[in-house]
Amino acid sequence: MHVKMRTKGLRFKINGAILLASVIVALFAGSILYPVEINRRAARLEEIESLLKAVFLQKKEAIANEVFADQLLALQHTLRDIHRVHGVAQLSIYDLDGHVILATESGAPRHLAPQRMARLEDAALFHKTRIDGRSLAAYTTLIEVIGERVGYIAMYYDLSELERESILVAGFFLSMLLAVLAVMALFLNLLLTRAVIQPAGRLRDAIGKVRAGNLGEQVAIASTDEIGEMAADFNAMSKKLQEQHVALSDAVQTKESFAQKLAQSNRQLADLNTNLEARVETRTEELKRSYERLEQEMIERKRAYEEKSRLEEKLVRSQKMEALGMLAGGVAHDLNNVLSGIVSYPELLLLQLQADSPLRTPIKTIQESGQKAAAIVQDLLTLTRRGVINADVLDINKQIVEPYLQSPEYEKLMTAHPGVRIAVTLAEDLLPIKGSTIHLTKTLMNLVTNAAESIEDRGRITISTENRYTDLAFKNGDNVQEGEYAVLIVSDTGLGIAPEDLDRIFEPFYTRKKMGRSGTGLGMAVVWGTVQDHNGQINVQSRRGVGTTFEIFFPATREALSITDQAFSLAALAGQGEKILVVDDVPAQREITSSILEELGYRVATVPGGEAALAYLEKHSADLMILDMIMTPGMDGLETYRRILARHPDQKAVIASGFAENERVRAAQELGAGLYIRKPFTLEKIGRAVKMALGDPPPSAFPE
Amino acid sequence: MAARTEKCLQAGMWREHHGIPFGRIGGLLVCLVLLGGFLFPPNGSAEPIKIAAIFAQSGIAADNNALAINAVELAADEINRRGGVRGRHLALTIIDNQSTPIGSQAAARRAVAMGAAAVIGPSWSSHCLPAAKVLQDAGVPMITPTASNPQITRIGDYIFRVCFTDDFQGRALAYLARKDIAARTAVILVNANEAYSMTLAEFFGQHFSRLGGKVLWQGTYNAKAADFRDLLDQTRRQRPQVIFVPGYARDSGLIVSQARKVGIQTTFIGGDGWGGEIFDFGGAALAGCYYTTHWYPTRSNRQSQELMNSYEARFGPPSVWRTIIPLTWDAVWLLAAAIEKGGATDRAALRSALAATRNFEGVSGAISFDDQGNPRGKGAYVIRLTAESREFVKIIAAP
Repeated sequence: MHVKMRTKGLRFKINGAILLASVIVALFAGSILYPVEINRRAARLEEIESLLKAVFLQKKEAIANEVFADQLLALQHTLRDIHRVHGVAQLSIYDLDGHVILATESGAPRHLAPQRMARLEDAALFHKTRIDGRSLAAYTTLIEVIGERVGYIAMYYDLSELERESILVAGFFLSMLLAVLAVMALFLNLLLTRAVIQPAGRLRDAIGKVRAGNLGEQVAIASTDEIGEMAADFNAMSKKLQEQHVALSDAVQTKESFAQKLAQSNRQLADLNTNLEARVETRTEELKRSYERLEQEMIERKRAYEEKSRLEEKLVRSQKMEALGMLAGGVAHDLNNVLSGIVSYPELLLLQLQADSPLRTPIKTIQESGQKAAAIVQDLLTLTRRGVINADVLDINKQIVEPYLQSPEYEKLMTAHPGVRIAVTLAEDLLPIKGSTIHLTKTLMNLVTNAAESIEDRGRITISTENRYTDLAFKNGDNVQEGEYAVLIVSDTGLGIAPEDLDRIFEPFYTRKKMGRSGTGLGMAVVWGTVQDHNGQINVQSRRGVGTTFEIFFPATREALSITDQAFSLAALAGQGEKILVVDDVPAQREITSSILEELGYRVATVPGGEAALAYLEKHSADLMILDMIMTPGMDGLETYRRILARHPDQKAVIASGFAENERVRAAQELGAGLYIRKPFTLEKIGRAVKMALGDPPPSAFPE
Repeated sequence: MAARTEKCLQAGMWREHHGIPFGRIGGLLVCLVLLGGFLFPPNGSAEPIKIAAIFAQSGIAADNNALAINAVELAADEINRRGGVRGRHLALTIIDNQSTPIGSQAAARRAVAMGAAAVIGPSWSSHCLPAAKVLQDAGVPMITPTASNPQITRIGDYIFRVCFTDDFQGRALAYLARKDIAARTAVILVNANEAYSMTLAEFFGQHFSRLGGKVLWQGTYNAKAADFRDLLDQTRRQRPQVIFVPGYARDSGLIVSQARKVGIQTTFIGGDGWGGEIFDFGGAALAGCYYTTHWYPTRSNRQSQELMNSYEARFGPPSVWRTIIPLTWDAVWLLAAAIEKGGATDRAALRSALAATRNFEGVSGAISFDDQGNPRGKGAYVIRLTAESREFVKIIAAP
């Protein structure tokens, strides 16, 4: 825009100059033309005078003689002839006295003044005059022939044409001038544009481009004038700039490429170096690793060896325990059958007795004794791992620890050891685990009892629970995985356990305590077995004179707490006269079971064995079967169930067995048998199982 | 002869006034001749009589007057050959009047200044009028051979003519038109520059009307005019039975010629101004036209015969025998006769002698002046023109 303004200014200036020049030219032309015009007019007037003079001279003799001879008619003719001459407007002839003799028109003066006549003696007069509004040139002269003066003649010439001529001429020249000036101006403008402004503009554009960085810009101006030269110089300069720039760029480029190459080389070198280092490192690493691996291998080998020893030990131990277990198992099995009577009948009797009956206490005692014996048997069974653990989802805090702390056993224990204080720290968010309340309570009891007994005088026992997440294998661990654990910790400030004893504390009947002081000698074994049954892990830490801490890790479950939390309600377990078939080879067991079931409100049928069951079901139907697993001789429970199902696919069954859950039980459950209950079972247990098997969901009622 | 005479005059003047020499030898020779002439005059030893002849040697009338000049020279020479008058020769001076009135005035003044005893000429009436005035005032007798305007001789008693006047001519022409051509209507075309034409037209008109004719229109033209179409258009519109053109030969001839060209077949008549040379201007168009004149060669007398012979002997035969020749001849001889009687020194005596001229036997007839100075009884010769020549018709006698 700025530059454009300047170009406009240039045009403006030059246009102004052209205009000024034009004005000057016009003035000049005018100053020349004006006198020329004046001269022309004067010349025309002269011409007119000459014409009139000539015409007069031509006719002078005739006029003179006609005037002289009074030939007025002839004079008229003559004047008419003169009048025909183009431009002659009027004619007047005067006598020597100055009076008009003849005039072609009125309007001209009828007399000549004496002064005029006097002047006419010397020469003719020629002057401009007006007659009747017309501008005329008058030529007045004396008429004299051969010295004879006869009169005067006034010849009038019409000047209107002359004047019109003047105006036309002026107009014509003016318009000519204007036209010429206009054309000239236009032409000059065009010329100027082409010769100056446009090239200047182009040059300016090119300069702008160069300034903007477009070096080497050439401008196409072909003229050879100053602008052309400027353009040529500019072109050369621009080209040179470009070349220099290019050269510079090239040089820089070259340098840069060299630098790059150098850098590259350097980098390569560095890379090489690092590579080298890396390779060395890698090599070193590899060596290290292989060394480590070697070490590891060696350690592992060592460990494996140790493990082997340990396992061998364990195996020995296991075998020992198994042997013991087998023994115990055999005993327990027989005892269990016997004990069912002692456990179950009292319960029935208690139900039939009134609350204030004096028989209550003894019967209760019988029951308790029976239960205790059953417990021992259970413990023994537990050792053989043939017991069946109920896998209920339970909360250790609420269902193990707290109930235990309320239990009479606990009371008795505390009473027995007055110097012992109990501290209880329970994690509020303790994860639930899957397990058996009875076993776990037993475990806790055993631990706490041992703890209390280890304290001689005064001491403290701490019971705590907490959640732990562990990802390391334990010291004594086998098969312990990572995961969440609910940990039960019982620690005491007692005598502690000697290191050489730590390994053996879980052995059945291994005790430092006096025989018969308490427990069965199986306490720790039971604990150990329970822990194993719960897929948990027990840790022992002890120092003589300081104390002992037992940590038991139970795998946590995320299942909801099981229904077995709910309170027992007899009424809820009542049956509606459903038909139940009890299949058991032991008659006493059959009796017990049917009595309980009838008590609960069911119709019961009993058969001594599998074949009998089959036969029975041929003729009768049963809503539910209570199936004993171990039946001799003949088919066992599983086989019986299989066969029955083959004939009666919808037959529901509950499995009852004195042994812990095992494969056969599981297989039967897979076939479709609903639940498994362990003998000896309580009323509650059988009732629930039957209810559940029959399909009625037991009512839920939470104890407060 | 005229040139010689002029030269003699000049020489005489030189002798008298010690004028401008024109070559000593030439002058000497002239002197010797003159001396011879003077010493041995054929007859008479008296001083020559100065006679001025005013004629047009230039201008429009020059052609017309050339024959007059021939005639006057011829007559003077003849007279001198016969011994002059009263023993004195005639010294003739031709003065050019330039064919204009003013020129005529100037010429007359010159004649007076040179001491002419008498003046012969001018020929045309418009020339005679101003000249007569001058000569009358100067007391120099003037005899015009051909001017017919009556006004001329009325100017004074020193003025004489030897031809008829226009009042008679006009009447004659009117008679001709009325009676012979039997025209009842006429148009007159007048030469506005010539008093002769205007006067003759006037007289003709008067008499024509008196005779029962009617002049329908009178048109005018200027003497020098050459294009008469407008005039003729107007004439034609009038449809006259006769057209009277009292002009001179040139203008009349042109008029008739142009009239025929534009289809006007009417008979034209003219006066003595027409003359024989009208054929130069009118050509064959003039066939059937009439004019009046003073003399006709074939109808002439013995004197005219002699004149014609002399003239022919000296100048060769003219194309047309024009009346100006005999009339001028008669004027000179008449003057000579008068000088014979009255002498030339006393101009008054001469005038009286002239006025007393009775029955002068001229070529153009017997001339007796009346108290006006006009000849009595000069009849008008009526001439009819054919395509190439003329025919004498009759003479209309003067009253």
